[in-house]
Amino acid sequence: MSEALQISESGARLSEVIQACVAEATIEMFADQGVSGVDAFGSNERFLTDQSTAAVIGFTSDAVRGSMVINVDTSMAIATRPVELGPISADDVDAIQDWTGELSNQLLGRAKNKVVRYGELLAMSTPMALSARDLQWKPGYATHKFQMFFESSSGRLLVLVAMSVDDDRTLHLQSNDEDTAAEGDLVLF
Amino acid sequence: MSKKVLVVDDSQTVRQQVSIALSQAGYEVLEANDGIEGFDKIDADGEIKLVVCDVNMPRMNGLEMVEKVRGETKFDKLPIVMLTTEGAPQLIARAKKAGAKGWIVKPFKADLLVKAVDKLTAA
Repeated sequence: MSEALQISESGARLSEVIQACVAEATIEMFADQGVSGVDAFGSNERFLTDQSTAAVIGFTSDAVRGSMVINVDTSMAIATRPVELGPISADDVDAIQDWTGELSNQLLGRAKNKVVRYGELLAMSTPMALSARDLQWKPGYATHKFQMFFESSSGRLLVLVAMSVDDDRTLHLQSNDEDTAAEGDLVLF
Repeated sequence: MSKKVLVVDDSQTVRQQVSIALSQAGYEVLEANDGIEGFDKIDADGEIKLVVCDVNMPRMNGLEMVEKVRGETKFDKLPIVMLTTEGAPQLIARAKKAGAKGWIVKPFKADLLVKAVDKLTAA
């Protein structure tokens, strides 16, 4: 992972915290989904241009508003879909779109659960998924944008984030993992 | 007779996952796509013993649905478990205050979900 994405003990800007948390969440999520080798970290200027599916999900707080797009190869969407649901074909567009939307929801949720440890609570929208060729990304309004490209034997994943940060203040770690419920955790009241 | 459980989630994939886990454990599973449809099914069916509910959904989110259900005295005892990607303590506290009985962070483990449903429907 790029050194620029490490958050030092002296803190980091909100925009840097969000970027680092999205990167960490992506790698963790795909490892948990059983997709190994998702470690080719870098940037890619273009959406995947062959048959692919994208999902868009928004986030906001008092200091930031933005959206995250994930763009996956059909093979990657199929590989990460829960195995208990049984196999699907590349023609099952409804199932692939639904799962890609849920992937974006779970990815942003993981990132959000990391960002909240720095004292910033993001609210999330519901996702929207689409299948298309030759998508273009024009995040014109954004003050900050970043993109990450991941690749494994199961396919490719592109994550794009565009956000307008009104107050790019320095944040410090305020709480540890145990204060936030983690993936798979069950809490009964 | 099988106990009825309602799963409310805007993702068909998640509804299927929950349905498979609970059906294999002997529950009859009903599905709803958002909070409005969820509340309508609870109200119309009258025999639902537990609700598994997402938080972020269109039209009516899960926390709003919990508050609406708790506003009806006839559903005082209906346990609701939130199943969501959210893990922020502030949201968990809000759900508890609204009257939810549990919180599970996605992706969930089927055995833990079944254990929670078994416990909350046993009373």
